[in-house]
Amino acid sequence: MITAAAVAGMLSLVALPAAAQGTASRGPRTADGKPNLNGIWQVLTEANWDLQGHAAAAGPMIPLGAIGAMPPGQGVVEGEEIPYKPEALATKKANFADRLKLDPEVKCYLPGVPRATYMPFPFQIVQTPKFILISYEYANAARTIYMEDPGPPPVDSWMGQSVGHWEGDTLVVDVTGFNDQTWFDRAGDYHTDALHVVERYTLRGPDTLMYEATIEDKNVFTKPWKISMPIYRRLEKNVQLMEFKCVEFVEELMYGQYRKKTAK
Amino acid sequence: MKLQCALVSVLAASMCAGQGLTAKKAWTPLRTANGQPDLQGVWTNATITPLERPADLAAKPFFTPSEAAAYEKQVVENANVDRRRSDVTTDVGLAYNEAWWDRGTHVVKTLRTSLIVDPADGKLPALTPEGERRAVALAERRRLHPADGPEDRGLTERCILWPTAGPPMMPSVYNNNYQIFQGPEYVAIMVEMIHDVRIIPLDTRPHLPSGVRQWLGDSRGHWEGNTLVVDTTNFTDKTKFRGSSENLHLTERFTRTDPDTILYEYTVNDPATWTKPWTAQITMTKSASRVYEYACHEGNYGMMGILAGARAEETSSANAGAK
Amino acid sequence: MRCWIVTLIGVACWAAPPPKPANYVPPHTADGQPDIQGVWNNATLTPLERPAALASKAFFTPAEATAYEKLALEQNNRDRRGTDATSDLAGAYNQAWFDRGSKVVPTLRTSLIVDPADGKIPYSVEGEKRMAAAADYARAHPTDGPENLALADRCILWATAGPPMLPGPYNSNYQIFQAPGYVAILIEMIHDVRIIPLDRRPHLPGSVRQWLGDSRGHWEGNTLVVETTNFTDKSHFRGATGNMRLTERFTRTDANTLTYDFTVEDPATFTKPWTASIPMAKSAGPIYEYACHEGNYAVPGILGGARAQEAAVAAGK
Repeated sequence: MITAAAVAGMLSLVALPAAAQGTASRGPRTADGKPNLNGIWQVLTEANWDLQGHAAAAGPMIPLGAIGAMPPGQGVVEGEEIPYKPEALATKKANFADRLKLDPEVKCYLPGVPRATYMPFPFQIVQTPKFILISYEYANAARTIYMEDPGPPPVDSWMGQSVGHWEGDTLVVDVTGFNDQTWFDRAGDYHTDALHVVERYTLRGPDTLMYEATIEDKNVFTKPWKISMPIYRRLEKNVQLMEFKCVEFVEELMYGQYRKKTAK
Repeated sequence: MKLQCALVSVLAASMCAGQGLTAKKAWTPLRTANGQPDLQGVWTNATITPLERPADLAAKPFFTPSEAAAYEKQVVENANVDRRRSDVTTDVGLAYNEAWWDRGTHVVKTLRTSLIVDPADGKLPALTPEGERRAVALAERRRLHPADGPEDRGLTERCILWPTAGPPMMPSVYNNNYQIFQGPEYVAIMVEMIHDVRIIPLDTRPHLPSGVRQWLGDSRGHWEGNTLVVDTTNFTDKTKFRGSSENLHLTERFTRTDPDTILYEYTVNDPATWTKPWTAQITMTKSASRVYEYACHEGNYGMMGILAGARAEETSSANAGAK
Repeated sequence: MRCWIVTLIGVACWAAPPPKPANYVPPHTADGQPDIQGVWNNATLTPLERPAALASKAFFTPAEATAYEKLALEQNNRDRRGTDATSDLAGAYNQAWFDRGSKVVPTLRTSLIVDPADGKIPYSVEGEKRMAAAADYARAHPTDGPENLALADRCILWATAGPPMLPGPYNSNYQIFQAPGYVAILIEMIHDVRIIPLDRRPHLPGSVRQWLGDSRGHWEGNTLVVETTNFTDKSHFRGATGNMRLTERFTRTDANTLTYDFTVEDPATFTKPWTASIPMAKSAGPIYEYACHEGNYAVPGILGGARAQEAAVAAGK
């Protein structure tokens, strides 16, 4: 059934090579004329280990050897340092010292935003005019970006409530309604329920998304701060998200102490 | 800039005096495809010239060619002398000779009697009080804890870092081999020991953040005429080149002076350790060989033997009731 | 007599892809897919299998349906206070907590299963044996460790996710998104997302098994047909093995109804494929975050309680 919209959609696809030769920002478009962010994407930085620049270091578990060690990273924080209040910095350091017990990632808890973006797992964007769904392979975390304002978040949540709009060719996502349970990375960087995140997604060519997130939390930081990194399209043939339902993998860790002891 | 020029002319003068690398017809090096002077190939910096001028050569900054030949003969003979002793331990300890070592058989081509060119006496400048303190503390620690754990052993025994990698890249007991590759924006130096690769960007990007420290530091390079100048910072406090601190600032210069020679010069700047900067030169010679894989850690029986042996000694002396 | 005729018509209808009221034309997405987007809810009082008491009754009359609905709601909300604290606590749930819906399916069938005609799952002998063995094992090891507990209690998988996607005790909510080449179903419980590619790519390798299997979709007219394989042998949908094959059909039959049919095949468990049909109703939404695992006090409570009981027994009460 060929509708006018379908024809327009096909024409916009056909027009793609010409558009690519034109202005660099034009890029592939959806049927409603927006930059097309559909697809499977993944970040390549070491941000999930530590947002700030860091050398390589031994990991917290000796039996894991080099597998559990921390890889080095140049850092993704603009200005290099996260602007902690002094007492909050002490909390971050305490978090790091006790990270095996305290990092929610260890327990397969929902990663929150922006951490979900730079977990070392792919995610898929399914883009419609009214909603943009982001499905994360990690712990099948998911969030729906409302492109029409739904009002204030009805309840606090791990992934927050995301409201998006276009500024030119940039998708701007305003995220509020967080609880205080997630971390930003494995280095103990944390927040309270006053967290407010604004993300910006801009296509740079058909296979690269430039990503920025501005983070503010008046209880923890002296001022808002920004991270940025590219996100790359996963180009393998027939690539798809697979399941990483890690709850099963942490049951022994979390409930093993309650396991019945068999007297054998 | 003025200081740099002065240094160059001093070097040129001393080189002429030593009759080593006479600055003859300025040899024009070949160029790579993207126009850089070509340093590529496999090179060795093996040499029997010591870093510091030996005491008995204090008055002699340069050998004559015949003196050099005599020195070479003597050093090589000494290395191969039969040193059998009566007890097993000493016998094993002294069993190495040139079948194993490959320190080289020649002095540097400049015929200088030390690698150090500045200070002029060929000796390291004096340590600062802090540098002295650190050196004493380190020596004491090593004396008291020779083998408590792997961190008490040298970086070579731990298969972490070899002197040939540095930087600066100093000749060592064997395998003083390097392969240099050049791309449009990078020079890469593959160091055989221990398959370290120094990738040196040639653009103007800043160094890594000062909070990030690396064993080989962080290098940035640029060309000054036919000389590659490499600036390295961001060392860890564990690298300790000759007792240096983590604030070591190293400048290296690579100049290909003829088809078979790269003049490698480095300046060490570490006011926390030495009272003034010091500079050394080594001539690197083209090698016909290839660079081999040195899987050091993968075959590290040495560490296990040293530590287990130390533990066995402690147990046996404890059992023997020795004090 | 009337019931018999109705049954006959019902069977005849389901032999072919379900014909829908011919006058409803669904809108289309920009890339030409029939538009099934939005928030949907599939709560219903109709059980999957026909209850024994209704064995001879394939369909309610409207009056019977109303009576059934009334009874179900009363039952769910009755005061079930027991004399002791344990049974009191266990019976404490009512409609304040549950959200199973308040209606039977509009077809008035007394089961969601439409084939076989008796509304029951056609287990094979081997299937029944396996189920019985599993039940015996579960009885003998109810709380040894987390893997002995229900998938929902472990916060791994909810019946609403399946697939197939069956209504659950509450939050039987879904949001469907469509983009060129994909249909995505966000399932509220437990924030599972089924991303269904519409191209002709092959399934995952047979050695890769997933809780929700691996789905591939295509459109047949206005019906989205989704085929799913690669289940694990831990999914156990109604006792099925990991070789279960599932075919689902989504058809928007009016602006507010998405008809959802599914057919289950597993020769190791069932004597023949069986089919069920559940209408999904448009819902205002929104989909909430269900952070199940993050708030899972149940598992430590169940296991810790079992260990405490054992200790008390061992200590001679």
